[in-house]
Amino acid sequence: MHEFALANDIIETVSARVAPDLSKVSGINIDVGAFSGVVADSLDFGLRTILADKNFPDVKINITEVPTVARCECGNDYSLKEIFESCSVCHSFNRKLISGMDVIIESVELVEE
Amino acid sequence: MVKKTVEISAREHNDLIAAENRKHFFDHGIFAVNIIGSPGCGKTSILEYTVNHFNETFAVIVGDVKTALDSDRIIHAGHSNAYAIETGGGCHLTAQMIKEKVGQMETAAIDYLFIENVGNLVCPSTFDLGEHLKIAVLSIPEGDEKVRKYPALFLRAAVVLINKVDLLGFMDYDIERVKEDCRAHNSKVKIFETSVKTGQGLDAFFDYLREQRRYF
Repeated sequence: MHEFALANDIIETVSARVAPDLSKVSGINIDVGAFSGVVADSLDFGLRTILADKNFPDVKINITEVPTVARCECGNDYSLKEIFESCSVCHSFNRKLISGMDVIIESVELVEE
Repeated sequence: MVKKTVEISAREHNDLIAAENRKHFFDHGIFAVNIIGSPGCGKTSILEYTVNHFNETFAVIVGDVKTALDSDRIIHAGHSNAYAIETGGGCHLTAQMIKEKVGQMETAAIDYLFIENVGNLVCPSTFDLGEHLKIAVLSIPEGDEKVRKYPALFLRAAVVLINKVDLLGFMDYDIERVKEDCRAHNSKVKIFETSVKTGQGLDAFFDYLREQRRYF
């Protein structure tokens, strides 16, 4: 259940970098990469639990699952859902994963003053 | 409502502390490795072997949910520079835990730091501790499907030790398939077949660490 630790880090980061006063936050939009090792539902549960505990139960959490994109040695970029999907052009596994490994705080919605 | 696009990594809180750790290690010439594997795969046994066969200066940090049993094993093997982190329930080590522990240690005279993570193939995979090398440990009795079952670790580990290879003749374990699976997750992965019973592969692993330290 490392999603709970990550949820805690997300709230710390939003507070430190975007909105020191969490009462100004109305929503948090998060992108979860397909190969991030993070379960979106568990992260959502963790965020809601922590926000409720801090007395901000109305913050909307919106999690979008984003695919993983690989760049093959042949130069082809392709999207994959499973590790064992090789390059769609040359079928090689010699690739670099260029997105979908991370969890990103995409945007934060703030209430207007 | 105002939407503020930020694009910040959700792991930033941990990653900033990991970056501090990495700078501390660099400033002190310490090459740090993060060892991740199941409970019972032989992580601590490899470190006990290291105590007696890796002729370099190093410290060991061992993470467990409870007890200092594993750091005691390192100390009993003859190495006093070993420390326990009890997570008290946490399923992985964090950069902050390493920062606090390293702050209590004498690090001026060491060239390597071995961090044994909590026995778990899931949670430790994605938490950067500030290490230079993430090492996954597999073992023959666990069965040969672990790479496929726990992709997050094998996508990120630069090195895989397939441990307890002295048991290969006694168990159904397709080691070539395991290696292929490792390479499908990370085509550049470095794989060592190891055994602390026979010493197989461990000298080569130690040489690899020395080579990596030269360039870190």
